[in-house]
Formats: sequence, C-alpha cells, structure tokens
Amino acid sequence: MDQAFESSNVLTSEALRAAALTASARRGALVARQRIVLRWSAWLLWRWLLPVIGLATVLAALLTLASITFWGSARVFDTSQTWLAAQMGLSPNTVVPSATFPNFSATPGVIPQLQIDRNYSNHDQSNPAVAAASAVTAVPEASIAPATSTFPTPSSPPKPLGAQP
Amino acid sequence: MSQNDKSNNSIARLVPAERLNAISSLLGEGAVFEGSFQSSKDLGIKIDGKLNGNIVFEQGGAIHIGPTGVVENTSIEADYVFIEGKVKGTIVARKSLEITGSATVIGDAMYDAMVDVHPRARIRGKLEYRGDVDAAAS
Repeated sequence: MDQAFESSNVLTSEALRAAALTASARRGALVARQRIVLRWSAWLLWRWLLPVIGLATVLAALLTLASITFWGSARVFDTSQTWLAAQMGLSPNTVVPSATFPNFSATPGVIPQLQIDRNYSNHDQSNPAVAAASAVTAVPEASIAPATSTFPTPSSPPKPLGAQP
Repeated sequence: MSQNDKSNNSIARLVPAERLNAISSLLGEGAVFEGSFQSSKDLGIKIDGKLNGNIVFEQGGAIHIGPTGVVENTSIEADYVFIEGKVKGTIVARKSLEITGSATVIGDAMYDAMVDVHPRARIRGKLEYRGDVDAAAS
C-alpha cells in the first residue's frame, strides 16, 4: 500500500523536466514582456514625448511674448485669466466673500480689484465700507508719543568683562 | 507541455519550438553556476540563473538564455542559440541565432545560416556571418 502511494506521487524525470520547463516559460514570458514594454516606453519617452513637450513649451512662450508685444501685457493677462477661468468652469462674478479676510475684495462684479494686480492693491475701493476700512489716515506727527524702551534702565553703566567688582 | 509550446511559440520566430521544448537541462532562476557545460550529444540547456563559464555543444544542441538568465565570461556554441537574457562573451550559432527584444548581448556573435534580431534588442559587439558571402549572394 505504501509503495503504491509513493510511486504514484513521485514525478518521473520526464514529468519533472516538463514541469520545470513550463514554469520557466511562464515566468520568462512575464519578465520578457515587462522588459520589452520598459524598453519601448523609454524609447518613446526620449524619442517623442520629451521633444514634443519641449517644442510645445517653446511655442507657448513665443506665442505669449508675441501677444504681449502686439496687444500689451494687461490685455494678454486679463484675457488669459478670463479664458482660464472659463476653461476651469469658474465664474469670476460669483466669488464668495471670505470671513477670514473681510477686507479682501470679494465683491461681485469687480474683477480687476480681485486680483493682486498692477496697482498693488487687493482692496475693493469701489466698496465704500471696504475702502473706509482699508484707508490710510494721516497721523499728526505731534500726536505720536516718544518711543519708550521696554527694557529696564541700568542703575550704573555696564563694566567691562574681567573687571574687578 | 501545451503551456510551454504556447509560450515559446509566441516568442521564438527562428529557433524551432520543438528544439526549445526538447531542452534537457535547466539552470533555475536564482541559481549561480561557475564552470563550463559541455556535451557531444544533441541536447539543450536553458539558463534562467547566472552562469560563469562556457557552454559548448560539439554537435547539435540548443541553448536558450531565458529573460532572467545571465551568462558572463562565456563562449557559447550550439546549432541553435536563443537569447532573451544577458550574455557577455562570444556566441557561435551553427544554424540559427535569435536575439529577442529583452536581450542584452555584449560581445561578438557569429552564425552560419540564419539570424533574427528583434526590435529593442541591445547588442554591443560584432555580428558576423561565418559562411561564404559571395556564394550566398549568388
């Protein structure tokens, strides 16, 4: 009984060879496919993808410079921002006011003031409340108190290091 | 053997599938062997591991370097040579030599009859036809 059980489970050399070759072929096909895909990808990247990205970047830069030359920077920037907002599905007139920064211009219909723009102002001066809050009021010089030090005044001048007390 | 037939047939274009399936010796992946393998019989060997040394079949023979196989400091010679892995050394194929796209060959390769180099194969060395070039052209 034991002899029959053992002989039925022991692989013959031919079966062992076939099993080893089958496993090797299966593993080899996987490794070969991965390596070939990697080589083709690397070739495509260097041969086509990077040159196309580089060319597109150069063309975009040239188009931007040409547009600025012909139409001016303000029109180009405003047009590009409007176009970008439209592409992203945003409407510039529906900005929600910020509770954290109430002085920041968030009034609908005042798009230029919403930008940190050429006038170095991010305050909506067309809104009287915001304009009043952000207004700089001149302070008379006489009303400015003299500066006082917050450090205690020493009772005697400091002694040099190493001096005898 | 159906799986083996299918796998080999899908890759090899020049080396007969029956020769690849008749391989009698296998160096498994992860194994390292240092020394020379030689036979005067028409056998076959597949290398999935690493071999430092020569493989020579004096007559007949098929050598299959699998994708995970690395053979260095070698001079391999057989009727059929099928390379999917990395070989550093000299290769002599008396009948057909096939180098797939996953292979890297650093060294000279010589063949007497047929050669097939797949796209993306990496070869650094000389590929030489050993027959009579004038006779083959006429």
